[in-house]
Amino acid sequence: MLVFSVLYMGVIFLVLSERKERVGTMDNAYLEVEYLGCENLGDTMVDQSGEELQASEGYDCYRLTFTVKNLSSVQSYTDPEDAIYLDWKSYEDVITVDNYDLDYDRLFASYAGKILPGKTSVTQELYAMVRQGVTEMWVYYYPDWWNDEEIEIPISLEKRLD
Amino acid sequence: MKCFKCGKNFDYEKYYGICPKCGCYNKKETTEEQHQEMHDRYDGGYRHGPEAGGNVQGNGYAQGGYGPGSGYPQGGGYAQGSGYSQGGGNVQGNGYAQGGYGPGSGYPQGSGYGPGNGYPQGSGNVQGNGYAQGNYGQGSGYPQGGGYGPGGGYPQGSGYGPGNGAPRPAVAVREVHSWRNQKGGGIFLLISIFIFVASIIGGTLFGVNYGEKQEERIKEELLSYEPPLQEHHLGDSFPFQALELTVEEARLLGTEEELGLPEGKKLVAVRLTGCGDGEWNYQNRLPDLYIRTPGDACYEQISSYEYEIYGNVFGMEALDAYALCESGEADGWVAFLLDEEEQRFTLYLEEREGEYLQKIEELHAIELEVSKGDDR
Repeated sequence: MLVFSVLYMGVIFLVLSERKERVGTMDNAYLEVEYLGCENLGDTMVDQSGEELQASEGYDCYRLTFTVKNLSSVQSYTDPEDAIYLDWKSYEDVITVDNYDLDYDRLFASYAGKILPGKTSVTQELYAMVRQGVTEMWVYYYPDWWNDEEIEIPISLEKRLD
Repeated sequence: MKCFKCGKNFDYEKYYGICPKCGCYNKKETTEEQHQEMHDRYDGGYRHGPEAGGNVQGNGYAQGGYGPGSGYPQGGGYAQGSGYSQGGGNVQGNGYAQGGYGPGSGYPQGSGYGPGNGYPQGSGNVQGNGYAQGNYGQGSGYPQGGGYGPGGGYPQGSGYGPGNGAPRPAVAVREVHSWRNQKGGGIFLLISIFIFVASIIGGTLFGVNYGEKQEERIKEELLSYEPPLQEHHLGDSFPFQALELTVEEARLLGTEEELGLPEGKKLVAVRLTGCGDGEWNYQNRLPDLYIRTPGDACYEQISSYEYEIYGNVFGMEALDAYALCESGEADGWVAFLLDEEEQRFTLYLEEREGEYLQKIEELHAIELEVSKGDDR
């Protein structure tokens, strides 16, 4: 029993060492999103593809600006555009605008999308139509795309960008 | 016959001389008669005068009691044949009698009876081969407690041992000796169990808690540190890992319409030259580069494999990531897609460290302006 106790403690220390090494390699990106503010665009807006969109009746167009940081040394699996999700809890209050779709038949199309390299911070804009009178909404994101951890950010539509 | 110890009458043949009441071995003949029989058999009937102590005949050592044959009786011991008797021991044949009887090759101790090879302890009785602790050890084996062991035994304890020297009184059966052994063993077992359970529970809790805290701490360190940014100019040579690199120029290769590129993009290429020791290792490998536009958009390098065909067409050969692992010098181009409206961008190189190059140690940045090449 004493021998087994010693062996068990040895196994514990081996597991701790292996865990420390595994965390040290950290091969998943880790993101942090910060809300900077929004801009009321009125009833029309131009999305990322350059297309002009008309807001639905009773809705206003907003441009929401965020800072997306990659705190890890690993390039993010997701584009900064796809890293942020509008909260579907308030889907009647918010209509999202689809992201720009690439035409993958074009030459080098897979390199046309934005990336988020390690130790980099970029500014990212989201477009949405918000029902008039709504002053608050939410977005959420996954810091680690391979993990279920989800962080929700409250968005105040009264916080305007300068 | 009548037991010499407790006085019970019993059948000698039926019980092999072992008293069924007290377990003592009773010889048919007295010790003196047996001793004299040995004299008669081996040295022509020598007769002893009155002696205070033991008597060794033949090869032996008798201290206290008798020691016929080659034996070693001590105290009141009796060793017959080759034996060893201590205290009141009685060894017959080959054996060791300490205290009790040990006929044949035996080792009686305490008030033991050990015919043949045996090992009774306390008030043991071994006949043949065996080990008797307490009472009786039977057969070839290792009986403990109330055992009975005929055959090879090891009786220990108080016995009867005639020989040379003053006979010592028989040692009382030390049952308390075995009791102490059992008590000590039990305490050791309890301590072992306690240590075992404590190590399982404590080790698991420690591993979980410490492991989580350690993981959090390492993760925090990796996420919170900021690598330094080194800015360089076009045409300046700078150290990068084990290399010396120079960014020579950035050139436009084609537009969306000319090359069928994605909407709103154009193709640009950057020329790099480098030198190193030409050794095949990670330090001589070029990392994947990326560019960053003034509009805060980052785009990754087009792989040299995909760009190679077009590079040859343009006369601007692709620079492979391992070019400087195979040669001490290299000169080539790396390509990117850039937004149509942008003319300037910043080229970034990540200098990494670690066994698997998992950590960005330093960032190198070079600002570039796109020029239109005339020799396409």
